[in-house]
Amino acid sequence: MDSLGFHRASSFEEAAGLLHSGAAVLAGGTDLVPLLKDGLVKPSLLVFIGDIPGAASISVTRRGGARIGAAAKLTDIANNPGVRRLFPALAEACRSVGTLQIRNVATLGGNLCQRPRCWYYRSGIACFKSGGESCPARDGLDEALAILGGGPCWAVHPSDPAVALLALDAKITIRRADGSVRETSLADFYCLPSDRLDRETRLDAGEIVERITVPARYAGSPQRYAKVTQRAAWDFALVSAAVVWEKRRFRPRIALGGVAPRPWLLDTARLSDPPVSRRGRDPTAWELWAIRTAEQALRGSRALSSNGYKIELAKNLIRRTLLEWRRV
Amino acid sequence: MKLSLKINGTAREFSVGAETTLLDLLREHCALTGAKRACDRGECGACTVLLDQKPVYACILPALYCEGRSVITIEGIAPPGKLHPVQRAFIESDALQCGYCTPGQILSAVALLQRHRRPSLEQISEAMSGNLCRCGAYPKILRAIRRLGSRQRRRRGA
Repeated sequence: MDSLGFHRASSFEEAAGLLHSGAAVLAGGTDLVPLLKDGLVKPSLLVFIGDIPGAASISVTRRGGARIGAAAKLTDIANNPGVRRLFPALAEACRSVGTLQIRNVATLGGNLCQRPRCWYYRSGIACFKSGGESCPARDGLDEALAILGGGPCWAVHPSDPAVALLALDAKITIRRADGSVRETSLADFYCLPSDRLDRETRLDAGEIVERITVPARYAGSPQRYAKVTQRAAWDFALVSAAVVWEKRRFRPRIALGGVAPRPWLLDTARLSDPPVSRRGRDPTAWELWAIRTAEQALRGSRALSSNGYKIELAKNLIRRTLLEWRRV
Repeated sequence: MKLSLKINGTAREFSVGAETTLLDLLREHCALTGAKRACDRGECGACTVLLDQKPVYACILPALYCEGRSVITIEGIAPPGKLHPVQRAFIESDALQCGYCTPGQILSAVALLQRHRRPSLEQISEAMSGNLCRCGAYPKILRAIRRLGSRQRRRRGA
């Protein structure tokens, strides 16, 4: 790492222009620095985006939704009064990341672009993610691996905010090296290992995440982010779920974390409509619907040798979260 | 690259590479060894220092990130020869055994008590859960912080 260069970008356009093959974006560094130390990435240049004016801005309004700069810190998002009031699922997801020390420097853009935590990959064992030709985890210690969308790599995506943002139908603004921008939905931002093995996003060379936008449609709508971990702090989700209700059509958008190589959005069309009549909600019918929805949500999931518990965990988490709206 | 920052209230200048972490800078360039190198991967909290009054893991923070900022280490929380109230509370509550994690624990507690004069149990566990103690002194660490919280309240006459 002796020849590692460092550049303070003054704009996203300048940063994108520097992202040749040997450059890495540095925001908070909470994922990048451990990857550097473990020799899993070997850039020749760090492009620091934390000093770009407005890169850490957070603006939230009921009419305009949320606009969050890529370098906004997770602590600042979790504590932002507007985010807490209008997008509590996002605030809760940001608050559930790592520890306070991590959240005080980790950024939203960095969190969305972080690499998988599969312990085979992180230990430097040759695998698809490190340029190898096999997935040792698939035939090894597989309890943390995917139950949906896996193969040929089965590492799950570790982000919490991405799950909330997916349920909130967030958009990502990407700056390109030539100065142009493109916008993509969060759903299209991530790919599966069957599409692309070397990374988890559809960011191309010379592209950088500049901003995350949450539509006003879900501002203040009932929503929740719930995360199941082995320990209460500094842990990645075994399974997490974000449920966001649409204001007009009374139907939830549900996204899952910890279950697939990308944050996983459930196809709402495949889920039954909730039992709502003009007279209100029948708690028993609601409970039956929650159980049915959880079953439908996990249809198509597949267990490896020892990660089958995630299927039951995900069903229970979805059911439990939906039950919070049993009575209104 | 040139780097200017404040360490324990004193403006300092260094020339460091991109691979230098804040922990490297403190321990190797400044002889401030209170922040400990344990996991070196941002997992244990022994390297916790305050950056602009917020606790961060110095072992995974590039030193160049800290340009123009203010860093406080355990050496800088009280005047030379004096103890900070949190340090005294840790001693009075016997909130340490081997002591390796203690500088980090104390800095997390100092930052917590700056944010909340009388923190709730939930606020304490959120603020302190980024600092591991392999000796398992957690109950006494908790007691030290709770005592301080109630003492601060009494002092204010609340």
